[in-house]
Amino acid sequence: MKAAGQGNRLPGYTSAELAELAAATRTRHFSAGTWLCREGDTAASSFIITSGAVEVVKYLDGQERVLATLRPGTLVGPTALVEGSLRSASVRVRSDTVALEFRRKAFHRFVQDGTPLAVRFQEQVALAGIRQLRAATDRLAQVLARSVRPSGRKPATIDRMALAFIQAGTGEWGVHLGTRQPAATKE
Amino acid sequence: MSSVIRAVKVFETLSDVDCAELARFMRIRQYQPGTTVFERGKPGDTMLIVADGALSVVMPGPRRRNIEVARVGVGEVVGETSCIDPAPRNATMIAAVRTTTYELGRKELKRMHREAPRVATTLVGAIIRSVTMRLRRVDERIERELAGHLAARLPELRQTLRSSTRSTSAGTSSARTAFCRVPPLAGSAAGSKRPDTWTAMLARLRGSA
Repeated sequence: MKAAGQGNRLPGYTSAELAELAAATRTRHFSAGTWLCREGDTAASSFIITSGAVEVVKYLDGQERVLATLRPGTLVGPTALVEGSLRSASVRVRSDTVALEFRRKAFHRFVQDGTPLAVRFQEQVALAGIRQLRAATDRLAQVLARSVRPSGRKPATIDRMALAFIQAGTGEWGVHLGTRQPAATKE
Repeated sequence: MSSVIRAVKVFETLSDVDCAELARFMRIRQYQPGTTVFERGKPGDTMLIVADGALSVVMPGPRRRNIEVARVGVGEVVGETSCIDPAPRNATMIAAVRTTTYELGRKELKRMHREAPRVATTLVGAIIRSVTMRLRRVDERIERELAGHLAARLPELRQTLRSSTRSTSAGTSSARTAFCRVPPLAGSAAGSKRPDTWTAMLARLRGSA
């Protein structure tokens, strides 16, 4: 649900696979106007929308902003399947909705079974997270590049944007940054 | 080999048995000093653990020389997201010294899913956890950096406020209140409770970043 409530599309699931998914989850019915979850709550489950529509809502500058509308086939709040972080936005039911609630513990059991469906589902969750991380790293690189002031010769001689990307990716790769004055190595 | 995998932070949740299983699917490769391992912009689908030696993250510098901007040491992993979602490499990496790596490509991961599904899902689960943690760190860093931008603009904002108070008396108190509601910038902006004006300013800056 981070990054403006983007959900993951779960395309191409057969009815048999959806039945397998239904067995690992709890079917829940929500009326229009009620809440799936609220910003700031501890997240213990994700929701797969099977019918209806929900909207991701956040209060900014005292005003309610609808960040996204999520429709059937979307997994809402995938981060909750990994850790119990706080909900980064609220999700309101726009029209009567049926959703499969996937609790974190149930997800772990489901994945441990290692069925082809579990593998695919886990991969979808991984892909969503990885793409979100790449987008965030891109964004951080842009922010860092903007804050780099051309001082001295070195920053001007190398691709500032690329350097910012490397700085942004430092956490991503788990690498150690070099010394403050980078050593030149022969090609 | 599995003891090296065992020491990798990303895989700390894997059991000894899992690490031994994972080792079965990994290829050992050796690079001579100066050999290019990854090239920035080139597609990649391989995860790589440095077992011995070190990799330099380099950028082209003046007079056709490479500038080392970071280093990847023993027990560190690079490109673990690429074996799930292949993508162009973020940076060029060359072997700083004679280096041994353990590598797992997309093909091997798929084979692992077929032949050792439990270990494969454990591995992907570890990668998802690591991605989630890193995402949170990157998000927090963005917020801190944007707060820094805002701090750098404070004199300018102060000046704007002064001129607006001089030019008109109407709305002065609300402008002053809005400005005063901005909390001190010490420490991280992330996680702190911010008044709505602060959040809105950050949101605007974020939008323009």
